[in-house]
Amino acid sequence: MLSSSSFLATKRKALLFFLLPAVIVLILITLFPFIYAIVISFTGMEIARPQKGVHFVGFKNYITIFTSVRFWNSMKVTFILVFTAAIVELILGFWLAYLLRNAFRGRKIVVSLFITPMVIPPIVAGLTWRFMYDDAIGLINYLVSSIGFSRQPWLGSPVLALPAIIITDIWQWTPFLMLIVLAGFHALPEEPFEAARVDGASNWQILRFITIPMLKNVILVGFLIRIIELFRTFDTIFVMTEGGPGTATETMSIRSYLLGFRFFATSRASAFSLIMLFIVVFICSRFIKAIQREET
Amino acid sequence: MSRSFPIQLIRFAVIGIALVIFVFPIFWMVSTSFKTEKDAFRYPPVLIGTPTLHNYRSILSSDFPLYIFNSVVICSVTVSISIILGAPAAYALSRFDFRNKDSIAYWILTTRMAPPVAVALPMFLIMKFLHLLDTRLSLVIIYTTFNLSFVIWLMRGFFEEVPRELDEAAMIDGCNPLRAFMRVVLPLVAPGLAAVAIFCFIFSWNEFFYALIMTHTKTRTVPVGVQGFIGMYGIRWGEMTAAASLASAPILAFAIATQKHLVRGLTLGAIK
Repeated sequence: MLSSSSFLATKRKALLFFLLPAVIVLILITLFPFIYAIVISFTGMEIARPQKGVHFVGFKNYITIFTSVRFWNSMKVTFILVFTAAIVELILGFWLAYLLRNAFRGRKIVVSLFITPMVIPPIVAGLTWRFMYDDAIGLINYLVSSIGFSRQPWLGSPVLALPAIIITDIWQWTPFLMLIVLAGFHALPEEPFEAARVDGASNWQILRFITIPMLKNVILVGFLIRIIELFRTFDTIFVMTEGGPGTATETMSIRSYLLGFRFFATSRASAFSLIMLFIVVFICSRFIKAIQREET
Repeated sequence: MSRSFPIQLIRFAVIGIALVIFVFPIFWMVSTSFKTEKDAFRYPPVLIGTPTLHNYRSILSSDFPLYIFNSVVICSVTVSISIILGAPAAYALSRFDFRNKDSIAYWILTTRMAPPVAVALPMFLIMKFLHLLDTRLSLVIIYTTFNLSFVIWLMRGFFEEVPRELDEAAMIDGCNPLRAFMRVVLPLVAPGLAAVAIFCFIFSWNEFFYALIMTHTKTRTVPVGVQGFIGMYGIRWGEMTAAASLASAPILAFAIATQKHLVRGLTLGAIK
């Protein structure tokens, strides 16, 4: 029979045995590169020119970034993309979930079909839309011209390229919010709704004063996840426009990639990525605080 | 509550139109992959052309099968490592009480939130230093990062649904903690574990950014292979859509198999 102190000792050993390998691996592959990125960002390093060596330059990279027009442009593009797409996806996703909330025959298949855009590889989604946006053979220009409008060079136009990318993202990720809100609908209790109907509330009143407040947390979580993911968006933009034409669709992710892997401005790209990381963490912590405030 | 017939009709009409909008682009991609070149570029476009397997034959005799092989190897190894390391860690976080438990759990979560571009450069330099550029191992290491944190967060939730009394009883009966974990708890969360494994496979299979910067020719994965049909002088749409269809098919099958857990997986367990 185990004494209680040796039982605790076994538990302690078991804890280390279970937890430590994962923690060590995570530290090695996340914390170490992160610290390395901070160090590089204060040096003048260029992968393509190793003879330049590595020397400390202080805040020079950061100053260069904050004084460059392209940085502020990429920030503007990112914010337009992130917030327009997230808000439209939320509204459309909620609306679709609302339409699908009651069971009907074949609903499971309908839901499965709706989620296809978000599970296929993002690269495939981007290329499929690039095919449809094509000036010459694209389906969208065919539809546009068949209803009497003039054909557009969608992805080649500085004005239309960003909206075209936002539409692709909305197509891809509205099903995600639909799915989440649908899960929220299914978890709702029956009683408040029955009570409201007995009291003669209209459908709109029920939606506005009961359903939406009760789904608030689910909606906020879904919205937050979309915001985080939208800041990371890279694949679709990369295959559709590579940030162009000019800098019309150059988000911070794309700009950071171009700096690091096209222009080989290693240190500047590192500083750029860290600024971006800081912005994402800042926005997310604001949101999480807002959600926690709602909960209390 | 019964609703009036016209309202129901409008509701189904709207669902139908929305469904067409969301499914059509995928249909268009698949349909183009089975078209002859002449049909693919016909104007006005044809929905379904004379069916041909020409595009598939063409990509299967190129390097594309090698990319499929690379993807399968990388994804399977990554999923195995993530589960082997992650499931015990998740168990520890759900069962044992220790200082800073919540901080450790949140730190694990934040490793997943960072945009991939943020650590791409140091990763690239480290891989270069270790002579791992253009190897499958480099992608296995990187994919393990984001899958490991995912496994830990989701499995922790699944373990918490198993009553503590079960493994405590097993331990009092003389099982050591490892045995209690392997023999008593793990079988109970097997469906959850399978879903988590499938998710990790999907994430790794779809990953493009790191695959693009770490691999060159012989270790390319499927998404990079699909993107490879964008050439200097335009895109080979026929072959590209065929490759894209092949890249999507297994993922769709997997996603439908785990549909029950999809919300939980995509929200890291925040919504069940």
